[in-house]
Amino acid sequence: MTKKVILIADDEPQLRLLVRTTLEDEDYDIYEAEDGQQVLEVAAQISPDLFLLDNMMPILDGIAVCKALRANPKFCDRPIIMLTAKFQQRDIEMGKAAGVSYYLTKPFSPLELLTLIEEILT
Amino acid sequence: MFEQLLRFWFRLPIRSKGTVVIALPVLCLAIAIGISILLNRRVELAEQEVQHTQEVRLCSEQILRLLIDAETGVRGYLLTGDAEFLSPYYSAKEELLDLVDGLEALSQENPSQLPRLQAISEQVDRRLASLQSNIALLQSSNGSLTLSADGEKLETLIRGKSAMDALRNNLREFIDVEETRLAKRQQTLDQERALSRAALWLAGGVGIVGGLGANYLYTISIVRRIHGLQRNALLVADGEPLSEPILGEDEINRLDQALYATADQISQKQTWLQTANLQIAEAARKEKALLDNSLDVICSIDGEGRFVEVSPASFKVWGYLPSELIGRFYTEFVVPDDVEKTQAIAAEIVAGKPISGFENCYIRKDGSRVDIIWSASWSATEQLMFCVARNHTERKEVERMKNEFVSTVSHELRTPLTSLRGFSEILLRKSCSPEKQRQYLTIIQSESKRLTHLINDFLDLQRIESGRQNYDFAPLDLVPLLHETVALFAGANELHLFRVEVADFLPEVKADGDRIRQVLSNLVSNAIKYSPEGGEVVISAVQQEALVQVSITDQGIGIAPEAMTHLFTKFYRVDNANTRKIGGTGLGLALVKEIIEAHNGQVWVESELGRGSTFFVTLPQAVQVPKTLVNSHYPSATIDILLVEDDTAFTELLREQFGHTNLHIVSTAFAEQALELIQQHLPRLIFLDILLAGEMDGWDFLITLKGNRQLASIPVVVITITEPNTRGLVFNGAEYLPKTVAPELLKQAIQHHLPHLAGKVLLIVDDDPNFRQQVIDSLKTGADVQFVEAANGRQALECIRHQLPDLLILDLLMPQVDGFEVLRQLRSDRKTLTLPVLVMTGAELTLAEKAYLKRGLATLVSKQSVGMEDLIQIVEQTLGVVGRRE
Repeated sequence: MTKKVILIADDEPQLRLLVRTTLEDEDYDIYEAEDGQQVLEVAAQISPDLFLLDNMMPILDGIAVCKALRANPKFCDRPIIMLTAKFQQRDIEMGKAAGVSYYLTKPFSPLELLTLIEEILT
Repeated sequence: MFEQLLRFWFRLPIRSKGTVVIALPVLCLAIAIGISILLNRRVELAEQEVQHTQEVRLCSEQILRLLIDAETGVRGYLLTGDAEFLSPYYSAKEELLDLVDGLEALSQENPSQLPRLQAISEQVDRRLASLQSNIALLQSSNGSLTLSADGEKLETLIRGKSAMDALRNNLREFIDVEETRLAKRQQTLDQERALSRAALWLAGGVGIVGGLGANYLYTISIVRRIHGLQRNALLVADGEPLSEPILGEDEINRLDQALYATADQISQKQTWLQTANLQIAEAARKEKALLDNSLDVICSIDGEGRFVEVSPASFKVWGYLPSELIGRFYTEFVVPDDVEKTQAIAAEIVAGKPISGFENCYIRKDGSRVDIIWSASWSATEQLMFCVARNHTERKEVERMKNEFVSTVSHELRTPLTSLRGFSEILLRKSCSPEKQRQYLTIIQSESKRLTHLINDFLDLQRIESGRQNYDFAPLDLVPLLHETVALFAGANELHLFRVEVADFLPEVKADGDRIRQVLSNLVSNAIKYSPEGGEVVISAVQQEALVQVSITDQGIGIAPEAMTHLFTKFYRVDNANTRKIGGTGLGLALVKEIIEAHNGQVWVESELGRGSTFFVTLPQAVQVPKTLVNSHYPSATIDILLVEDDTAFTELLREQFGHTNLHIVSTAFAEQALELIQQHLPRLIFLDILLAGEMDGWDFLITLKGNRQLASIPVVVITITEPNTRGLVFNGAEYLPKTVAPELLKQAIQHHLPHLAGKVLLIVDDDPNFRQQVIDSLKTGADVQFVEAANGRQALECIRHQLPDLLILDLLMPQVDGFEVLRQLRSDRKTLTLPVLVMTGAELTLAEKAYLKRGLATLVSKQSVGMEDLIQIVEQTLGVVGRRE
C-alpha cells in the first residue's frame, strides 16, 4: 500500500509545523505550500490524496483554491479539509458551495485533526 | 370768521353746495336786471315828462298862432267886408276851444301853471268874443263900412291889439315856465340815463363777481376735493399711503373716509399677506435648506419613470447635477442588472405600496458604481413618486470593512491560539526530544507574545478612541528613544539596514514617552514589514519651527495613491498579494494617528509604489524656545490668508487684489491639505469655498476646523456661489460672502480680520525709556505708524484724552498711576471702552491680576517670553481683538 499524500497549505510556518508534527508518527507523505498559488502548482506534481487548506492565504485564498481544484477533473473528488478562523455560517456555506469537504475551526486540537484525517483516508 | 364760514360751507351737502353755486350768479343777475328795469322805468317817465312839456309848448304856440290867424282874418273882413276872410276865424274858433281844453288837460299835473292857464283861457275867450263883436258890428251895417264907423273900428282894432299883446305875453310866460320845466326834466332825464347805464355796468360787474364767487366755491369745495379724492383713490390703487384726509362732512368727505377705511383694510391685509409670505418664504427656505443640505438625494419621478425634481445632493451621490437628470428616465442610470428589479419595485410603488430599504446600484457620471438604498412612495394627487436615495456604498464599505475586521481579528487571534493549543497538546501527549520541546516552547512563547501584542493594540485603540487614554506629557528627548527603537528591531533583523539621522541640536518635545515609543515601533515595524526585500530604513528627526518632525523612510513596496487616504483609517489594510502575506490587524497606523493627534501633532505619508514610503510625525516642542531674529521667518512663514478654493480664477483675483500688500496668501484646492497647512502655520484668516477638489468639502473642513479647540478661533469667511444655509450658520466663526463679491467688500473683510499697522496711532506707556525705544524700533518696519510715548499712567491718560490712539501698549508697574488703574479708567469711559490694550509686563502676575486684565479686555504678554520680532504680529492681532474704532 502506497503512502497517502497530504498537502498542507498555510502561510504561517508554525502552523505547517504543527500539522506536520501532528502527523509525523503516521505513515503519510506530507508536502507544504505557503499560498494558494503554490497549492495548485504542487498539487499538479504530487497529486495529493488529501488537502489541508488554510482559508486566509495570500494570492489565492482557501475558497479560490477549492474552486480551482474542483474544476480540475483530477482533484474533483479529493477530500479537502478547510482550516479556518472564519466560523460564520455564511463562510461555511460559501465553503461548502466551493467544494470543501470538512471544516476544522482554529484553534483545533491536533488529536482531532489526526482522527479526522485517519477517518478520511481509511 | 372766514374760516368758520368755510367750515360751514364744507359741512354743507353737495346738493346744497350746487344750489348755492348756481343760485349765486343767478341772484346777482336777477338783482342787476331788476335794478336795470327800475332805472329804465324812471328814464321812460322822464322822457314822457319831456314830451309832455313839448306838447304843452306846442299847444300854447298853436293857440297863439290860431288867435293871430283869427285876428288877421277878422281884420281882413273888417277892411274888405269879404266874408271869405272869416274862414280862419271860424276854424280858429273851433280849434281854440279844443286846444285850450287840451292845454288845461296837459297842465293838470302842474298846478302852478293853472292860474296862468286860467288867465289865458279867459283872454282867449275874451278875444274871441271881441272878434265876434267886431264881426257882428260889420254885419249890422250890411256889410259896408263907413267912414263914421271907421273911428269905432279903429278903436276896436286898437283894443284888440292890446288884448292880443296881453294874451301873447301871458302865453309867453306860460311857455317860459314850461320851457324851464322842460330844461329841468331834460336834465333829470340825462341823469336817469347815466344812472341806468351805471346800474347796468354795476349789474354786469356783480354778475361777474357772483359768477367768480360761485366758481371759487365750486373749485374749493368740489373740484379740489374731488381731485384730492381722485389722488387718494389712485394712491389706494397704487397701494401707497394716502395723503391727508379731506375736510368737511359732506359726501366727498364720506367717500374719502371710505377710501381711508379701504386703504386701512388693504394695508392690514397687506401686512397679513406679508407676514404670511414671510412665513411661506421661511418655510420654503427651510425646506430648501433641508433639500440642499440633505446628504440623500430627494427626488420626484413621474409615472413614466422620468426625474421631475432632484435635490442638489445628486451631484455628490451620482455625480450629476439636478439639471442633468431632470427629464431623463431613471432607468438610464441604473446598472443593467438592476433595471428589472427596480422597475418591478417601481410598479409596486405606483400601485400604492410605499417601500423603504430597497437597494440597487447606480452608475455615476464618472462610470463608477454607487450602491443606493431607497425609500419611496406614490402621491396620487400629484401623480409623482417621491423618493429618498441614500448613498449606501460607504455603509456597505464600512460593513464590508467591519466583516473583514472581524475575520481579520478572528484570524489573527486564532492563528497564534492554534499554535498555542496545538503545540501544548503535542508537548503533553507526545514524548519529544529536548530540542523539539524547546522548539515548540519557543513557538508557544512567541505566539503568546504575538497574541498579547494584538490584544494590547486593540485595547489601546479602544481606549484612545473612547477618550479614556491618559497621557503623561513631559519634556522628552527623542534621540535616545529613536536609537532604542532601532536597536530593538535591528537586533532581530538581518535583512534591513538601519540608520538614525538626528540634527545636532534637537529640542525636547512635549510628549508621553511610552506612547511615542509605541508610535515609533509601530512605524519602524511597518517599515520592516512592508519592505520584505530588505533595504535601508532611515529614521530622522529635525526641528521645524515650533515642532519636531520625525520621519521613517523605507525602500519597500510603497503605497498606491488610492490607498493613501484610507491608510490611517481603523481596520484598513491595503489589500493585495504582497500585503496579504504581511500580517497585521489594520490597527497600527490608526493607533499612531490617534496618539500623535492627542499630542497636537500630525502624521502623514509620502510614498511611491515600488520605491518605498516615508511616514512623517510632528510633535510640539516642550518649551517655547525664544526665537532669534535670524531664524524668524516672519512674515513669509506665517500665512496671513489661507484660501481653500478650487476655483483658480478667484485665487487669481485675490492675489491680484492683495499681491502688492505684505499679506502672505497661500491657496489650496484640498481641504485635507488646508488642515495640514493650518496646523503648521496657523493662518490668520481663512477664505473657504464649499465645493472643493478633494474628498472633503467645505462643510467637512469647517466641522473639522471648528471641532479643534486650538484652531476654532481662526476666522473663516465662506465664499461660495450658493447661498449659505443653516448648516453654515451653526458655526459662529464663519462669515459669508457671495462669490460675486466686489473687491471692495473683500478688502473690508480682510481689513476687519487682519488689521494692519499702517496708519495707526500707538501709545506706548512704560517708565523705562529704553523699553519704549525698543518697542518703537521693532514696530517701525517701514509702515507708517505714529508713536506716542508716556512714562507713566497719568501721562498716558492725558495723552488718550488729547488723542485717542488705535492701540495702547501698557506696562503695569509704573510710578504714580499704574497700569491697572489706567485700564480701570479706560474701561469706565465709554469712549475708550473698546480701545485695544496690550499689556506688556515683566512682573509675575497672580491669578487674580490676570483675571482682572482679562476682564478689562487686555491682551497680556510677558516681556520675557516674547521676542521683539514677534511684536508686530501680536500688535496686529491685538488691533483686531477688541471692537475696532470706526
